[in-house]
Amino acid sequence: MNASHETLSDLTGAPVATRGPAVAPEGLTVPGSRPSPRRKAGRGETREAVLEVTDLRVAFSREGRTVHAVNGLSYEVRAGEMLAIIGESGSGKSVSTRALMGLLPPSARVTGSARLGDTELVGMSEKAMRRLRGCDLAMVFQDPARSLNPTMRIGAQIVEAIRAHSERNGLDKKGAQARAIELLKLVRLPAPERRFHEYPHQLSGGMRQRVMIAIALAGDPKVLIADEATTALDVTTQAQIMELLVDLQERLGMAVIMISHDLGLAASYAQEVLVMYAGKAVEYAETEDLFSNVRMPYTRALLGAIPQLTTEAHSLLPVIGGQPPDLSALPQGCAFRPRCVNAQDDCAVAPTLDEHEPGHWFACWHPAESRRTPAAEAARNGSTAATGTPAATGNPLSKGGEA
Amino acid sequence: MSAVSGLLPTRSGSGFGRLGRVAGSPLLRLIVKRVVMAIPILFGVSVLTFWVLSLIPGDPARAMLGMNATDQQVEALRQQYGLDKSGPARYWDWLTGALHGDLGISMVSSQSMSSMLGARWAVTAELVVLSFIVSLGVAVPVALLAARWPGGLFDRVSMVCSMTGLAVANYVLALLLVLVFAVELGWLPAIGYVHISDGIGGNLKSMILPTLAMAIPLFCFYTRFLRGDIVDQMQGEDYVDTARAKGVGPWRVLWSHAFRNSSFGLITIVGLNIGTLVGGTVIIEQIFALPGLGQLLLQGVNTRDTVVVQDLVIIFAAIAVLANLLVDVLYAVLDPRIRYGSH
Amino acid sequence: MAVIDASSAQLESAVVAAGAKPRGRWRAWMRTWIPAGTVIFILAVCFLGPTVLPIPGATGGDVLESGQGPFSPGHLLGTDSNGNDVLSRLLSGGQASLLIGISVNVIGIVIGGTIGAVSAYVGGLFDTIVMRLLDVLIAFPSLVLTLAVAQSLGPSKRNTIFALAFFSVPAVARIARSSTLRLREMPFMQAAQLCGSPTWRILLRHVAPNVAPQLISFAALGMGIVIVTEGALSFLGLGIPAPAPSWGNMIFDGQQSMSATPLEVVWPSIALLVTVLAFNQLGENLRARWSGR
Repeated sequence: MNASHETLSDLTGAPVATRGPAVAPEGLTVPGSRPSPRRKAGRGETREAVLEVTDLRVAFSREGRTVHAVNGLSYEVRAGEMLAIIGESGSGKSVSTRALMGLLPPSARVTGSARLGDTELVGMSEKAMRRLRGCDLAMVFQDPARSLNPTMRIGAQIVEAIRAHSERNGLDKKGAQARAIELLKLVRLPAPERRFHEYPHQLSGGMRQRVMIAIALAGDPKVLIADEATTALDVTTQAQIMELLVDLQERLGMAVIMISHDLGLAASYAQEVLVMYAGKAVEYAETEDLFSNVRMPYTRALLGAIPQLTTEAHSLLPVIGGQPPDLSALPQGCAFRPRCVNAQDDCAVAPTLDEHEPGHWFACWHPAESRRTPAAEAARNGSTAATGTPAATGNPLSKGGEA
Repeated sequence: MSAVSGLLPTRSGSGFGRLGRVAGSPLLRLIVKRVVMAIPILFGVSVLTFWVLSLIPGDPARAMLGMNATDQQVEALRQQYGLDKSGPARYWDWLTGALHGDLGISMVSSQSMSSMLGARWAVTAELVVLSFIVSLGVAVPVALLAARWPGGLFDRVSMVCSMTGLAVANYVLALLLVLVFAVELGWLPAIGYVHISDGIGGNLKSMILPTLAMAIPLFCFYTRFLRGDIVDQMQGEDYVDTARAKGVGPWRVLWSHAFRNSSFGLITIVGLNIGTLVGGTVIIEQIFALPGLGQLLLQGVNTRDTVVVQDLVIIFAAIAVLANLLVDVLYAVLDPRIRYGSH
Repeated sequence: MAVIDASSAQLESAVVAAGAKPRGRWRAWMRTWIPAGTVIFILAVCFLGPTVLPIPGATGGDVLESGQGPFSPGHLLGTDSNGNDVLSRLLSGGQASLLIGISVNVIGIVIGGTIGAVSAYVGGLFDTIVMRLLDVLIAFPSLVLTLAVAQSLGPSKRNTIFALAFFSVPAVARIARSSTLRLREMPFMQAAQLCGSPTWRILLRHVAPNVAPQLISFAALGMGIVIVTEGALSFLGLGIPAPAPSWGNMIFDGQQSMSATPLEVVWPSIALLVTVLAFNQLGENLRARWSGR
């Protein structure tokens, strides 16, 4: 339908060869995600969820005030698939994944549920958590310059990750060293034997991030969390790292949660996208669905704020007015209300995340392109803090929904 | 994409390779530069001392001989010690002498400085080294324990104690120790020094209180710094998050990651502090009657023995400069970012 | 004599202040006002006390009254071995020590701050020379040279101030210099230069207000160091001359009669400890507040 080639993928520099753009009805040029053969194969099949998060909440107490960083987040990730969690700074996206890993400071209170296979992560003891971290659940951080210990050799840092779980893998020091070099090869680091003995500052940013990935892979994780893993890299390197991640994902069958503020990345690489605002999920769908059929005003505004090549020169960028909400003083009702173009009076009651269309969840009374009158009962029944996906409704994404 | 130009193409980690890398590297150049820079500082220090002491009003020769001395006696003494020469000339005499190992002759005791120093330096050295070992040896474990549970009971108690310990002047502490352990309890001698040759037991006994008096304030200082720095690393640095995310246990994170990085800061402040540490021996040796360099300096000051004072001040300053140099070099060698240069 | 030299105290306290976690607002309030209040109290009592309070003078006591313990009539803390009222000596000694401390720090900030800031701002050969000179001075274990100087000049309040200030100036200068160097890179400084502001005005209106807080908090920490060092000098007989009291020489006197009257050494020691502790904590608080950590 659209002959234009200005897609977000173009703008982000991700390889465009295999991508085809799609257009939303209102003429917005939105990026299309590549129709992944993986996903197509999965359509209609029931895939086991590797990680199921239900109504996750995280609160911090700071100087007598409570900061509600995450307010009822629910989602699911399947093996071999990538979920992109998109949000601005302060939306709670990083905090939620750190809660999964148990990496939050002691002042944090985590409630809700997060099941990794059969294991419940919330409320787990620190000792038990440590056995999982780096093993079943791994994380890659944002800034490779600061995420590696500058006084320790690369190889030693990988070996440390391996040896931390020596009861599981049974490797001694020599074995761990050999495996570390294998991992470096796996992440396509040139000259791995030499790099093994070098220090982080002797490597470039992209290489360091590969090392971080190698460290994360050391325990054969079921779920890899990439927390803004490419934000600190230049665009070309970013593409390389993402391609590497996707490749590894296919080969190892890992689930990947990619946290980012970059919609283009999400569009290019993820199967599912979850948009967060003020600690809650506000839109959740398969990628193609979400971008071609944007419903949430917030997501729409985010997409709209991206400068397009087709935009008239010297015109004002349609930025989202206002500020993100203060998480220690969340307003009643919809958190996006003060900044929303579609806001109405009934937005004073917080909308719940519902599957308004098959496979497409969003939390809004007045989503884009269709106005629904909220049922008075629904509005009255909604509690002040909207829950995420209630357990009663079953899994967030219906199996084999069509886009 | 190897780090530094001029490297030998050997694998890091192999012994010779490492040596070769150091020899050809900017690290050596950095070390040489530091050493070279220290020399003018040493000169500056000696010149400054000479100059300041020469500004002091009064004639040392007359002061020594007293009011009743005749002018000829005073003049003779002045000539004997070269006090009649001009400042720069005296400095030159001293310098050439010092570089040959001759530091002059004490005006009061007529002994050669070198022999007096020879007898005493071991005492001061022992005091300094022991204080060092004790203060660091206790500071590191305490800081680690405090940092392991920041805000916890041990942390708060140790921080309050160390804050107090820092505020206590070391001479006050010394007197307090004497009061408690020597006067009231009688366990340890209040004054006096026992040579090692006369028995290690006695030697150590006589050194316990002086060492404590010096080491305790030092320990407080190091502990507070180290604890703060380690906690900063643990809370603020991303690589700690990475280590935790790997599943590494808390003690290992503390030691191999946070402390390893904090140790550089520790080395720096140890270096900064050495001059003051060495200067502190003056008062401690005085209180405990230890026959070391500090006591000698004080004696020289009180008897207006210019030669002694001059030489000792310069020696103390030189020790401080050299210690700083050593610390700088150590830092450069240990920190891999400096050792292997930046990419 | 202080164990820590000035610049390492600054480094250390910066790190510690960052790591400290006050729990609750009440605790935080106490943390600020207990040290500040103590300092104010000590200053008030020592400077106003000897004139305002109804206590005998610090010198000229009757030997016959010596050795009285605390709470004796007319002598709240008793008398020392010369028959002087201990409380009075404590306050007058405090006045002397504090006066010296304040003078030294003020001289240090004014002269040292100016030298450091100007040197860093002007840069070039001038700066290199000044830096080398500072290096030499700071490398000195100051007590050592101060002893020699003080002995030969003769013990007196003025000479003590002079000797201590001689070493306080380079320490402050170094801090002012590094602070100004950092400041020089900032865009607003470059903007001021581009405006055509003369150097002296830039220094006065831009550099000084930005460097001053750091220097002042350093001075608070420095108070402790100077007081202790002055105490050391007096202890060795080279600071404030007897019979005028100073905490240092009171401690020395106390040492002499330690076996007989151990309390004599305790009062000035406590006074010293509390004062230094209060100033240290105040300095750390100022530091934390003004460096935004």
